[in-house]
Amino acid sequence: MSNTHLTEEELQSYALNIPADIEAVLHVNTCNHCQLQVRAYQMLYSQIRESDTPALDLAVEELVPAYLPNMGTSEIMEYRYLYCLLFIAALPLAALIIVCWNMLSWLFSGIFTSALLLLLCSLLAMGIWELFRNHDKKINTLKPH
Amino acid sequence: MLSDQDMIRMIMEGDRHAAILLIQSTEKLVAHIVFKLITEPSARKDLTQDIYLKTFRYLPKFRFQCKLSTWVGQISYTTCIDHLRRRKELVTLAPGNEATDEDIPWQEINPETLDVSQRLSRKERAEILEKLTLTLPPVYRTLITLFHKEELSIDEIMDITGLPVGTVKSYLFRARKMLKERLLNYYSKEDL
Repeated sequence: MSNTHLTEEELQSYALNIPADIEAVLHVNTCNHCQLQVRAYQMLYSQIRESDTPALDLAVEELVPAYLPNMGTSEIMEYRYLYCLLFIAALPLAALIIVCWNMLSWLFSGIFTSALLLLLCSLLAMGIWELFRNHDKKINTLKPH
Repeated sequence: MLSDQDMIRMIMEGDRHAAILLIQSTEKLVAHIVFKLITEPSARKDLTQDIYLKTFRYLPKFRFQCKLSTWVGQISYTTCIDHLRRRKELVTLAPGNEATDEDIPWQEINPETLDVSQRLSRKERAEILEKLTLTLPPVYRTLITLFHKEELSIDEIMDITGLPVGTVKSYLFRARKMLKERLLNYYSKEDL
């Protein structure tokens, strides 16, 4: 059995019933000092749990605005404008690539092709991984607890 | 019980009943955050109205990155923190510049009002805890309430406050330690 007192962190975890190692349990069972600290933490936790929830000094109806939001035309139009802008910006870029194809063809020959493919594949893999993580997070959030 | 998606859809279709349901399902969380961060009673009402106004205004922009209640919690926290910053009442606890128990001046509680020699009723204990909690920095008392009273996970607290995981854990650790030490000062061993 250990003769050293539990650290503050161990005392907090012990009082939260987070499994402690056997040495810590044996020590607390025989140490008045640590027992007092654990009891103080347990009392603190239970008092916080049992404390009253403050009440908002407002009727619920007062908090509902007169006009509720509407994901209506303005929001949808915003997205349409964005897509249009992106499309318009992509057009000159595509035109530039077609016009300067002879100058850019070295990008798609020899070692550059492999390097470019590797880069694109890595970016694609990272994108898919990020999408998967976001999707996973959203699904976990929406699962009932 | 409505899912987050259904609730948002109904609110955006103008259903006031769904809006009331959203308020009812989040008012406890909002009240905890507002009451723990803001000590001035007159400001609480205005801030609560502001929080729900922002919630409904920005609802179409909610992207389901977290639970709807967590998002409302985020709005509550940032609205209150902004208010404290404007009033210059916020004690910044930046890493490396964190206040220790000795640094934080805490109000002395009149010992005559707290008869610790007797067994105390639940109400009296609650009052003592409330007074002791008020001596903590606002962010500390909010975190401790969210974790122990609202029983939110560290991840949810991170989402609400925007604080990194290490900071949340460290603030929680310090807040518990400070409160425990203050409780030990006010209670006899028999009371524990």
